[in-house]
Amino acid sequence: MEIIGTLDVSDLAVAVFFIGLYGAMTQRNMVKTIMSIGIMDLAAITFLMLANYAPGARPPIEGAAERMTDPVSQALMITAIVIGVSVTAMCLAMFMRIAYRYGTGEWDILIRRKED
Amino acid sequence: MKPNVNPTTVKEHSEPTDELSEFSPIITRIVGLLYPFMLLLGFYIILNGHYTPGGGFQGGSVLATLFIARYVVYPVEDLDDETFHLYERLFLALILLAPILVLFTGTVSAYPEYRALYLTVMDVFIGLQVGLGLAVVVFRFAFFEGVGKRWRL
Amino acid sequence: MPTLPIPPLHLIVLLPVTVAAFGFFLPRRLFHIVLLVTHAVMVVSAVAVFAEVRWGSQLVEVVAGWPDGIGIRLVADRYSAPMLLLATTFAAATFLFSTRASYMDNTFLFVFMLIETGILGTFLSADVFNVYVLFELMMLAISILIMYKRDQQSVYDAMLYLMMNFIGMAFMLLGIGYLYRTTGVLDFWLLQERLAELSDPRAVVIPYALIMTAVAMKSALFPLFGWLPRAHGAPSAPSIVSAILSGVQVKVGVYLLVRLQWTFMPAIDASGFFAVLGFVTATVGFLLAIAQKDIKLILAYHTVSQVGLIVMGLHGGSDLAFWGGMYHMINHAFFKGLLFLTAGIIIEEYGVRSYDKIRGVLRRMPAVGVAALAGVLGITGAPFFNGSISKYFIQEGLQGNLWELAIYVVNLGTLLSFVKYSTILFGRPEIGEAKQEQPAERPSRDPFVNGISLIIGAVCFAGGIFGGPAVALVFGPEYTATGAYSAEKIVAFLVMLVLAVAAYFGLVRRVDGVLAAVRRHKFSFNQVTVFLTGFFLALLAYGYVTV
Repeated sequence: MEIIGTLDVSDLAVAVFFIGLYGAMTQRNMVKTIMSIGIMDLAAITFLMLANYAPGARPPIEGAAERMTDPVSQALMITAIVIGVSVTAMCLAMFMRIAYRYGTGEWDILIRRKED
Repeated sequence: MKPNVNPTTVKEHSEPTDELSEFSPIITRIVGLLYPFMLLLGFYIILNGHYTPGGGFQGGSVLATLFIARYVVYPVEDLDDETFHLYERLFLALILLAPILVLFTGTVSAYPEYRALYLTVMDVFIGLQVGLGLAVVVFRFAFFEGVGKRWRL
Repeated sequence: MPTLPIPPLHLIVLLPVTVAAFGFFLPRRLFHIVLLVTHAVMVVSAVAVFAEVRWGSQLVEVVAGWPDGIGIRLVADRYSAPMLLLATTFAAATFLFSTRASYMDNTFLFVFMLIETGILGTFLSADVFNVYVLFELMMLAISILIMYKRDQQSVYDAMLYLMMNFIGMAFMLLGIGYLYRTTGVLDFWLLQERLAELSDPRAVVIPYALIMTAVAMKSALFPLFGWLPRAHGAPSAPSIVSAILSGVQVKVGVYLLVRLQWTFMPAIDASGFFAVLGFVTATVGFLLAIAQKDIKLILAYHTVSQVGLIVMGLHGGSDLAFWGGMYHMINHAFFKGLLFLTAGIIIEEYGVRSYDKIRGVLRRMPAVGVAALAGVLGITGAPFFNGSISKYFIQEGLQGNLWELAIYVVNLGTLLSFVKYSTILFGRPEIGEAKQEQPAERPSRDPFVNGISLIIGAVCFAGGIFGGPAVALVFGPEYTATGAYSAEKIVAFLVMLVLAVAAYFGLVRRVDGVLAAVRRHKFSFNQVTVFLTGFFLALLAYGYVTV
């Protein structure tokens, strides 16, 4: 029970990451796998956002304060978010193309139909 | 080889006579009221991004909702996304060129008083590029319904 | 040495994409000319950077004059400068190769230049997050190029490629998060300093495993190479895309494998793990290559095998093998690029892709045939060709009973699969219907095709004749390669060749059923993810056991 007290939000982010990984391993529907990977990506982003978090720190914007949150991780993460959005959009676009052609959203059925 | 099979869920939306895509007066009215505020919010976020929360990408996303709102109200493919695409490319080229000419030569570090100006100009470029780009993405998704031949990379 | 003015490193990275972004508005002919000039400029600047690094000191640039540790740092040292030179020359050669092809429209060229930017940027960048961003950039650009001809099969290939790599990149991002939380820096050099001061090296096992899983996926190690044949051998991708992917882009992953291993060296050393994995990759790669029928897929699976050999050399633990591996990276770029380019021409000419339908390339297209033969001789490590030198170095470096045997196994497998490939070169060209069907395409072929194929073929030969001096010139350390030309090596090669031919005609052709089953078996996306997780857990376990 002690271990629960030591957990924080970044551990939650790691847990969410592996939930996403589990989804990517088990889901047979393409959209669900895309969603799973999106969850993994966002969990990793959340983790990095909290990397050097200090309670009570101000966001690093105009004006000085005693404790600022780490601006580097935030600057990096806006980049990662943009990349994540574009890759997900690309995946969905390809999914639409495949779904129209083969009339299915399942990986297994798709492989079988491709062989016909 | 199977012939083209359209998933039935998608097909329902492709007919313009469908209930959802009828021009609803409530949505039209509300979006019409919100339209200037969305525009204002978008540019507010873009122009205040250099020292306060905000910036090009966030503001650009808000600007993109303008086009999406227009599509929700009036889902007709009369928008010329090729033009959008062209302007988006132009802003992309400007975004690449500005740092090369100004930032990487050390000009910004040498004149800190112009740093805010540089950041604002970059934010405007990025905001417009992201807004146009996301609008193109959404239109491509939306117009793909049942049309297919409009698909381009 | 006459000194050339050294361009700023960020310009080398940003020049291709900036020119492409503006050139997009130009008419096609003009755009081609502009890109030609750009490529020339890039080659010259890469030569200048290389000369400065090789005979001067390493170049470090913090972009925009910010202090170290805050700004983006670009570094050209003696590992990255040769790679930079290789990438720029190779890109220029592939661009010249098909300036008149119908697919070279403005969008294609824009995406092509994006890949080039990604490659050059990754070689020069000195921090993990930059590498992450550039990897994602290359990933998107490559998936667009895979499905460039927009047929349905290739969209599926591109989607699998994109999603597998996206998962890998999510691993890398989480790894970067852990690393940043533990050390507070992301720069390779600063990271190395901080890791040396770390009180408990076990704290970086998790980030190491996460990041290395992603990088191993990029460099197509077993069991994560499933995406590579889809990308490199994609039927819809033009052959210059296959050439640049196989020639240079996959080396980015291998290069980073070494660079990151070096960065993490104070805390963790997983060289043994990667060396064993390299052998497994090499073996599985050639076994799968033998099973393929499509000539581009044979070459693609063969890239997997050669990457395994390179990784074996780089992580083998001896200096000689390390430089052999580096030299093999360059050699592999030349002969595999050459093979892919000629394969593209051959497929265009014959109109078929299956190896048993193509015969007599040497008679029908002598120049292309000779060039392809040079590539085959290079890749199999025939004496006096460049492959022999680097393989000799790796073998000498790894002298020891088991490793040496492993190299022999890999060499034999390479020979075996290329005996299969080279059946397309010999024999009598059948007067098929393909010949009459497309006489109209002939005039559109580029004037440079034959010339460039033969030049790259000659480079393969020269790299073998001047093997030792070439390594000394490019990397610095002086080793003699005379052993590679000794009579016993030549005899050994001939014996292996006879063995391979015998094995091919005696054994491989009789197990067609098995090969067909292997060829048809496809792993689904879920299984690939399971492999990825398994790799991560194995690396994690190895880290916790050894540290």
